[in-house]
Amino acid sequence: MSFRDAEATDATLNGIAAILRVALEEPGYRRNPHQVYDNMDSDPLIGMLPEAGKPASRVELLQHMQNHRANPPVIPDEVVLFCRAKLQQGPLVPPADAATLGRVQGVRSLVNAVADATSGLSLRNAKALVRDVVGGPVDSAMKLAKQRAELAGKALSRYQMWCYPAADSRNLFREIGTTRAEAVNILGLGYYAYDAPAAEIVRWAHALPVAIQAYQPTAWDAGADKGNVHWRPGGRTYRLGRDDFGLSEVVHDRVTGENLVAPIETLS
Amino acid sequence: MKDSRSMTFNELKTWLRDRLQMRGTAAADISIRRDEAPYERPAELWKSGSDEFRANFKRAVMDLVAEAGATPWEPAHFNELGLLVEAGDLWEAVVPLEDIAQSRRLLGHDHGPQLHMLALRTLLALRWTGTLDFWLAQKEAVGARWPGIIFEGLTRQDVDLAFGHLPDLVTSRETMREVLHLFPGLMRDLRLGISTLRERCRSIVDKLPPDAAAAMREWFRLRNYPIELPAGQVNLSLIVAIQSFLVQESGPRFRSPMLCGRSEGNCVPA
Repeated sequence: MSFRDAEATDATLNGIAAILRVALEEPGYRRNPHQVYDNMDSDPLIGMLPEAGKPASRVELLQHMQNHRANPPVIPDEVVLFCRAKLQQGPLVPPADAATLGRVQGVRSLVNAVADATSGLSLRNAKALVRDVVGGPVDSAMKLAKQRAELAGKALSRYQMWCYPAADSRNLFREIGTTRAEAVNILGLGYYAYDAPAAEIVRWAHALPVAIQAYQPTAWDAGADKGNVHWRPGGRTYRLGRDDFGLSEVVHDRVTGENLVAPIETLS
Repeated sequence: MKDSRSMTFNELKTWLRDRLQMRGTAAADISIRRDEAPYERPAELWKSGSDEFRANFKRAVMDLVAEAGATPWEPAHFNELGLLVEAGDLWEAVVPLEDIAQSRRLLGHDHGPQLHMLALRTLLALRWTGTLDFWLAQKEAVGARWPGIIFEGLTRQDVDLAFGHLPDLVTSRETMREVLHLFPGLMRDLRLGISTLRERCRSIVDKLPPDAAAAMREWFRLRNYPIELPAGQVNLSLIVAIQSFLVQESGPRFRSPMLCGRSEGNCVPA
């Protein structure tokens, strides 16, 4: 049940789906300039009408946008804000299916997370700390012990985390390959492939503490941020290099250093 | 959203405030998915902006620092402002931040010590040195939770003095960790090798509370530099010290002819 169907349920919404589609267009994404709209339009986890216990519905987005019908330029930002308020509404992923999660993230965001508002570390000192713990011992177990100790209590990111459940407990990064290019490709991280190809990124694996649950991401989690054209609904990452899905993916609240089960390492 | 480079001064200030506070459409283009921090884009704009834009930008940031000092922001938002100041190296912020720190006016508000700490942290990030008395006086304000800030401030006065104060600053494993987190930056900034750092720590480790001492020992152990040498192990630092001493004394003033293997019985001047 698409946006058009949702629109048809309420006469006051007439025409708003078309306005939304145009507003979310990204002409630079030649594969499909309307990808972000289409993601929201086709995500099977999102229903047409509100339903208790389910993610926000398409008609709710249209009703929200209705308030901005007269001012279409603000619609993209308003969609972002709508999505931001609807995070982690997808189905819960059973803990057994999210026992060990792999994540790839920019070093800059790790530094930002370490220099949070409760930390006495400036950006410079946070960067030095991150360099110290990510570098250091060659021995993986020693490095992990060091990172768990030094980053205990420190969140590893600022917002919710996107991760893939690692299938092989003996080789947690088997799915994403050994290089930056492979990982970025299979995880569909278009920003790091096209906008910031030189940005340093790291990988790690963690286990969720009891208090944090993993969810299957919806189009609301993916949002309408610029560059999110590389995401596809369905619970799997979407490869950059070819029209094919990659790995299962989940979203969850951020974890801290003591949750690491494989050390943070630079991907080059 | 209007391009921030073409905003008037007041628009720019409002945009910055809203963005740093993650409020409304000013924060809409922050990419949550790739974990972008609110200060990042403004910092990039500042670095690449025209002279006119930079003048407005700097003025807006100074106004916001003064504003946050008068009517406190939430710690997360004040943190973001501090990160912007640091990322942009906006050293002009030292004056309003020093005023905030010296007046201690944030301390009386909700989250006062945290806000005060963030002001101090930003001052340090701008390479502000303060004075010995100033840093010692911060103990009652933030010392219980953020002794690292005071330690870092003291290192700006004198490194040995800072280490000398460490047993008074740390009270627990947690507060010790606050200080230990600074060590990598300290080693970089002061060009200290880990051996030198260990020597300084070794001199005070026994004066620390047991939990704090254990945390310090663990820090060095995780770097394969145990703070206490196992019995029987040669102290490499001692060897370096002896060698250094011997270089200075490489030519003994007089050598024993016996030791030189000379039989003439004359001492040979060095």
